Amino acid sequence: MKPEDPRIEYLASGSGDPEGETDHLDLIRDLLDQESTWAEPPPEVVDALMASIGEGEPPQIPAVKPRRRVNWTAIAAVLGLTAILVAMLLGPLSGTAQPVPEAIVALTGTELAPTLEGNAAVRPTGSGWWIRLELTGLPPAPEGSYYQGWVGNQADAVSIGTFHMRDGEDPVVLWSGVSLIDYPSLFVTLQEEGKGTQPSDRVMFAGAIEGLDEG
Amino acid sequence: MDREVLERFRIGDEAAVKAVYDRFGGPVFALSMNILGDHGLAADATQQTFFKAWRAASTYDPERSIGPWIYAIARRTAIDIHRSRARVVPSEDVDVVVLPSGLETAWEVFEVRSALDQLPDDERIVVRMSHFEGLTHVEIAERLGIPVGTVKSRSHRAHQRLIGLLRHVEET
Repeated sequence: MKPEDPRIEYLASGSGDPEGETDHLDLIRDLLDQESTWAEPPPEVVDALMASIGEGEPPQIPAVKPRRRVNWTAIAAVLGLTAILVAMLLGPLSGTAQPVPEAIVALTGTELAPTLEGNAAVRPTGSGWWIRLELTGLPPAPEGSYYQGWVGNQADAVSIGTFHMRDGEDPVVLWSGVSLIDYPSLFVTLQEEGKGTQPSDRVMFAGAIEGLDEG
Repeated sequence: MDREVLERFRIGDEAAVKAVYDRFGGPVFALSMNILGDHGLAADATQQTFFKAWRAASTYDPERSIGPWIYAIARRTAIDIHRSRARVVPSEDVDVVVLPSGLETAWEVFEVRSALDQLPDDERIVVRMSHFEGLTHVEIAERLGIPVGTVKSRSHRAHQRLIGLLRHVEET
């Protein structure tokens, strides 16, 4: 006859000898005792959800869309007016002749990457601006597509490289040949292979590069 | 979940969204309660989570389990709601917000609730009465009008299932 699993008795009543796994079982028992674990969502939640879905814009299914230069509406929605104000205040500063300390930029996912959390470390080097993205929650780019990083201002966007995230969440290192003081908006789009080199309107996440100066 | 449902979810099918909600609405609400500690906020977080999931459905890969994907959206949504209500203390270059203590066990709460929702109703009620309500097997038997032996066997089966369903939580 198969011996009884001592974990069952321990999980059910706290007695017995499960031989070592008590931390794990204690946590589960604590959660089973906890009110929030058993809490039921009010029925109106699902009604409101289905109503909002019925009224909302449908999900963005991957499709070929007309090219746009830059979807500033989507980016502005993520960044708010901060980046614009920073760009206006900084004005056309001239390059990176003086050393600039490394800065950390918080990145915010759009509705296309709602689970994304991450930041970018940026710093100037002798050959250009080094940009390192630490990301979690960005899905792998579907086959036939890729992610492309951009830095921009109100007038222009400059590519800083491409990546796909299909084999893990290793940090992504990108390079910019233009000053991030002059191009203070960092964003990443989902691009389709063979569809040109302008940023698509599928912005995945963005961040405002702030606090850089020439001293 | 059924692969066909997940494929339909990916293209935004409303019935598939409802099916995903039916499966994960409880775990998302439990996680939200654990983080936010308020029924109203947790209800908002739950609705927002599934709306965001629907809006982002095209980025979901049906080859992967949908539970962790929903969990990630729910956790992020609850944190955002917490942050929007928390007092923000600006420092030199970062915003400091004290994260809720419930965040530490968010994944475990999500998984434990998910496992509970997979139990047969007659076993789930015994586990609830035993743990959450603190009743003895005799008291449960009286409440349900069934023999004590039946309560014991249901309790045993339920806890056996829970251990099996939650094995991966132990490994994380």
